[in-house]
Amino acid sequence: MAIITNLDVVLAKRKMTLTELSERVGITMANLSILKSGKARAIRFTTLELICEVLECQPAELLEYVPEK
Amino acid sequence: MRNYKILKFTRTILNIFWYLQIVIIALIIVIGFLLYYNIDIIDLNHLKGFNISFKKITFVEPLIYNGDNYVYSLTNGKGRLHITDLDQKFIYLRMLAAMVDSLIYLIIIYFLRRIFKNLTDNNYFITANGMYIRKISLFIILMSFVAQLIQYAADLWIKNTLVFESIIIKNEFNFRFQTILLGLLVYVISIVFLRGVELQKDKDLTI
Repeated sequence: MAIITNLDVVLAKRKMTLTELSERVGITMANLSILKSGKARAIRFTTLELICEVLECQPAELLEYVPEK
Repeated sequence: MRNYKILKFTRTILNIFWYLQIVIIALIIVIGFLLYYNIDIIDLNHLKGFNISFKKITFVEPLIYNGDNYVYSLTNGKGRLHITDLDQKFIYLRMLAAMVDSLIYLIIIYFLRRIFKNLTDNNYFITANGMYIRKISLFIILMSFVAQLIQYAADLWIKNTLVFESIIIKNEFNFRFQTILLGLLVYVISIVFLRGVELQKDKDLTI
């Protein structure tokens, strides 16, 4: 997919684990793994808002557009 | 739990049909073999009879009614024609038509069995099921005309080869329109099902 997520990069910068994010945001590990691995087809604004709030970042830091070759 | 029992029961029924269909195909092959090699284990003349449609059969012997003689005939019907010791090849075309029909049934039952296996394994909304339904629809459409086409060729052959004084043979293409409609309906269901699977995936992969 042309949209990739930089969740692992942002998590590393904040020195936070996926488990901790899962607990603080209230999203299951399975769903966060789907997001992290780039398998997700869509993300709700509410979820994005929660992640941005916990990680203190902008949506643009989490998502990136890379044109497909 | 009740649903599971129904699924298991249907699977059993399908298995019975599956093996019956295999037996029918095996029988067609065996009969073909017996006819081809003229093996006298069974009465071959009985097997060599073939179905025909007729426009008119005029009977040579008159009908006697109140002492008077009447000419009478039979019109528009179907029957099985037996000609003793006639070495004709129409029967193989007929058998091919039956074989094709049975094979199509067998394939449809095969896909149905796969679907029911997935259902009993609790895999309802998966792409494979949608693809099986789509394939079933295509085979239903095939079923409506393939065997009939071979039958038509056999009818033409019979009509052009055998000349009867008293029987007017007709050949007609028995196109099964209802079967085509059923096939199209199943095809539409497969499209809707596959769209449903996509929506389910979208839902599952939305965070």
